[in-house]
Amino acid sequence: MNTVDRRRRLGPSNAIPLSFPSVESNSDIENTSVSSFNEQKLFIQLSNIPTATGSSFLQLGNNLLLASVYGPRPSFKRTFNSKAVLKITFHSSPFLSSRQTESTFNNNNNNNNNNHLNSDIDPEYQIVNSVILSTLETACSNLILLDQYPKSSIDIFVNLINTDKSTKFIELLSLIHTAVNLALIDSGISVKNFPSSIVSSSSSSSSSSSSSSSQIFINSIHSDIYDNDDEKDLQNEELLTFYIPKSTNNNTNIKSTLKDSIDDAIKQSRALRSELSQFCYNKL
Amino acid sequence: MVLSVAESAFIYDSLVSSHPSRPDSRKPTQYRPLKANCGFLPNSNGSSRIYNPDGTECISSVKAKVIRSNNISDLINVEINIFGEKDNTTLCQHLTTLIKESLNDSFDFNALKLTDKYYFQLYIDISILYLPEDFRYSSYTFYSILSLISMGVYLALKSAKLPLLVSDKKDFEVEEEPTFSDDWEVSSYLIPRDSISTFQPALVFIVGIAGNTVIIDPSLEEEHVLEHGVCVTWSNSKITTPIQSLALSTSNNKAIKPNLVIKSMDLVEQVAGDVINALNTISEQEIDEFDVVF
Amino acid sequence: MSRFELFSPEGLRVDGRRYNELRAFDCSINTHPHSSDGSAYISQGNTKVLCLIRGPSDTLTTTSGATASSADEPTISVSIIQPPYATTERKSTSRTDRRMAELSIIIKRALQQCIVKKNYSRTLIEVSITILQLDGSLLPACINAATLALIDAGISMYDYISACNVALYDTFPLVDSNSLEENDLSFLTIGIIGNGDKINLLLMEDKVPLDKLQKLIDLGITGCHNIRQLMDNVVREIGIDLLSKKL
Repeated sequence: MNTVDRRRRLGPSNAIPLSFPSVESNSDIENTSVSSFNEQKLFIQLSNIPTATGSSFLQLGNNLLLASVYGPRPSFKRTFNSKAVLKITFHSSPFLSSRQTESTFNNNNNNNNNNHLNSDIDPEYQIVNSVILSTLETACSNLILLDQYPKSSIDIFVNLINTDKSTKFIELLSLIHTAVNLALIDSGISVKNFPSSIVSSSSSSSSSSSSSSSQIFINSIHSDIYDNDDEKDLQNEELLTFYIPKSTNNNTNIKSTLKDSIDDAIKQSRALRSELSQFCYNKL
Repeated sequence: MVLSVAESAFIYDSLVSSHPSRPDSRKPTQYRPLKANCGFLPNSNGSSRIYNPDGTECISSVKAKVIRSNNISDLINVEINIFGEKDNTTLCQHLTTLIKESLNDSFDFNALKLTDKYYFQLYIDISILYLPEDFRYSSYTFYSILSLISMGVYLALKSAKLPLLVSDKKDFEVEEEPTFSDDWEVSSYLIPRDSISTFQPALVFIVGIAGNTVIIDPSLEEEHVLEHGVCVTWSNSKITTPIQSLALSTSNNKAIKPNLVIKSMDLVEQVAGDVINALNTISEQEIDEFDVVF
Repeated sequence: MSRFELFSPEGLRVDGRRYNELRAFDCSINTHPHSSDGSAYISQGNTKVLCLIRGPSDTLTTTSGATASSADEPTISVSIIQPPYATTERKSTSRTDRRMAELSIIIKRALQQCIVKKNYSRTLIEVSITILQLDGSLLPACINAATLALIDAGISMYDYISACNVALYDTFPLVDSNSLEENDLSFLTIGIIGNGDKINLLLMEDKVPLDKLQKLIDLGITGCHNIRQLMDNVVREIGIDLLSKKL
């Protein structure tokens, strides 16, 4: 939290931030936190950009991501804004060409438009880009308490530094959301609750093979209501945004499996969230 | 449309009450009246014009071109042009993405296969002639026109005709370009009208969510108070992808409960059949005189 | 020369017209009552143009950025949109296409002369033209559509502006040229205010022999008068209809 707090949003100047006792956890949390979805280790670094209000750097396998949040800054627009204006920019490094050239060779298996990603000329790039942007915009406007920052603007920048072709687009999408979530947490901007995003693949009950699974991406928070019973507490989860891509099997009825896959996703999302929040507390 | 706090609170309260009532006294499953016609551009294979009572108007055209390719992913091209908007805005791109994605996921590409080597490539161009002035100075995003655009594209595809191929279908060995009959009387529809080989192009529905209420086709007043929007695609009598959440306006956004996603799908299942029937009836009306449209 | 016989020895053109015959002309006004203050649709043969007019409105609320308002005349902004499907071969034109920008300036100048300026000081009139289909005679169709839309918007004008193209084949002038003729022949565009012979627009981008010019202009004026008559018939019909509803 390196903004100058002129308006004393953070309380009086001599206030001491809440400190949490360090939790003795079984999992090894130093700078790495084990992600539940991919067996791979997720590397997280927060506050790595000194000029930004909040920033995060993520590495999962070959995927490198940098997210930064600037603001809230006063905006001197002619019109009055009763709430903060959100601006999100997504940028992927221009030298990410390996993924695209390799994927065009084995392109004939399906017409998945997620195969190409990183060329500015490629129209498919725009497709992927726009899904990322629109889900980010929905998620952030649902998450941040924009009412608390009138006449101001918040800028979020996401930079995809590296990725590889083994990463599916939807996994990348959840990684991007995780990076933005962490950057927002790091920035200290008021948000509704601790968000976490996950991709869950649930294979339908009719077909046993894992290839015919339907995937769902969610970015969710816990609502204000809590329940002691874990099963009942699943109902208290709220989705900031979600995205269901084309399933590999056309015959599955999306709706019939959706309930289960959402529940499944929420469980995974919570597991990830508890780890991430522990990580953040330790950083404090 | 800029609503006062009292006005938006009233609309919100009446929407989330146990007996939801909408400002224009529609049922949750009811659309606003729409007018549409199709097949009026002689230069295009298929065309449609669809408009709302508030003046939002969408003209779509389908043009087919013969190409030699087997890359199915670039057989359908979509371009959206919105009056007063630049071509490369995020909004335009995203609308294009959603339409293209929905069509790609549901299209029967055999209809485009011409011979062993040649395919028809479809160019779908959409122009939005007018958007209500209120849009520009307020919290609205343009995503609600997605449903109008999608219906326009559906009609244009339904009315699209392709010329009859007179050269041989099996041209894998021979070096010749496909030739077509000059007679448009013998042309066939891109989407066959008989019940066996037919398929439906995807339709995108926009569902608005406030509290526990889900409504279809939200109007401007409603969008202002809605908490969340969901876009659901429907094709070949079932729900398909892409399904995702959209912010319909930035004034009153909230996260949603998962069960509302399922509820909005239920709503789409309820209305989709009727919408498809209505659109099919429009597309089957023949127009002889091209100029009666305006 | 062209593959087509553009003008047969019997005096027939590619589409079967005589030299002085217009293509099928059809127009309607008030086609978009909700989205604009004045609207018109015009079709000349296979050229189909839609024109929407917003205004006269306060210059402050302009959507296209702030423009300096002039004290003694309206600010007219003309935008022409040609969607990719307008031509037979699909072709995308960018928003900043120079040809379109040039056309819109020509249209703006022509309209400025026929609007009663003093009534509309410090106002903005937005003219947006959409070319649904293009088969020659683009500028005349735009001008004719804009005139009708201005009439529908109730903006006071001195008279109609009507415009038409005239092409020159050898020594024969051909009125209301289509795209086939325009590709191969030199042509000019003439716009006339009212029923007189005051030329208010003359655009010639090709070479025309000086001794043929008078012939072309004469035929163009006759063509414009015919078009004016056709437009006037439609407007009067609608006017009578409106009056009968009022009583």
